[in-house]
Amino acid sequence: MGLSWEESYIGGLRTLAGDERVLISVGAHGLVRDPRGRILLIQRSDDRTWALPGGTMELGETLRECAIREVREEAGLRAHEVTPFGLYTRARDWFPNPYGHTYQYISLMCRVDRYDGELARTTDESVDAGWFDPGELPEHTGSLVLRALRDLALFEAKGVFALD
Amino acid sequence: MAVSWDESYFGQLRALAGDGRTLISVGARCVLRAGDGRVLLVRRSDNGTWALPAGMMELGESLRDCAVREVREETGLLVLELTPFAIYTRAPAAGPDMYGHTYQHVTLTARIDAYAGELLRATEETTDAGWFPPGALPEPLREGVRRTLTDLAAFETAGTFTLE
Repeated sequence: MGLSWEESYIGGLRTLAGDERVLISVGAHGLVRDPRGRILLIQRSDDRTWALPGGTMELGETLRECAIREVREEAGLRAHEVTPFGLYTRARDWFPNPYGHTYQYISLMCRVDRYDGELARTTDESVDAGWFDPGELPEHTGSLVLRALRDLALFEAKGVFALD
Repeated sequence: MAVSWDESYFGQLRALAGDGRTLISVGARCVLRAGDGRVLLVRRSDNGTWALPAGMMELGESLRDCAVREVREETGLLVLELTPFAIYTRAPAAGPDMYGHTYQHVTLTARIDAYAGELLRATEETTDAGWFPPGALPEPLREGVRRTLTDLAAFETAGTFTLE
């Protein structure tokens, strides 16, 4: 169970800054694959899109720890090893979230190399979860998933770290 | 010409948050080398230390553009190609900075693979600049420079991308 919004770093910052100001949000996403090469997606409770487990960093944790924590909180899996393959900084890719707040989302993209545990189909932040073939993603898959799959393929083929 | 601290995203965030709150900052740091392996350091006008060109990101900017801008502002050189090799995200062991402010810095660190232009010895943010052999770095040296060069060596010999 994660911190509440009010207790979180970014929630505290939002309270100070008011609803209108665009804030920079720093976080991480985990891309988990099963032995068949399917990827783990969760259906987010806030906007019902299918997404990679991910979220915002808290003070005092590292971005690696953030990626691991988000996979735990949103999918129930314990990640033991992660490899960063991209840092998305999304300079002008701004849009108001379901709460009417706008962020420049900076996210470290991590491939999860080793994990255990049982997949949790629902959590505080998700209403469903499942393994999907990259060629057969569900409807309402977020654009970040597609971008991550392209960048991971490039990383694995050529060692290119994706930085925008 | 750089934006002033008061106009900058993190300057404004600091003003909103007050002096006491620890903030998560986002920025970039760059290693430029001469053909013989000497490393470019600039002498910062704010605290007199020798440092790698670095600085905080602005809202609406990508981290790649931040890296390019900081090198331009602090050295006059134009970055043409870069390769990320480390992301430092750990909470600070050191206390507040010279202004009494504490940050958890998230720092993308990149090797500059190609650049153009003439090195400026002094800028708005620097009082000197020069190329130094990694084994004979000048003092006072900013914290983290040696660590960054060690991590770059690990990246170049073993392909290790540092994330911590």
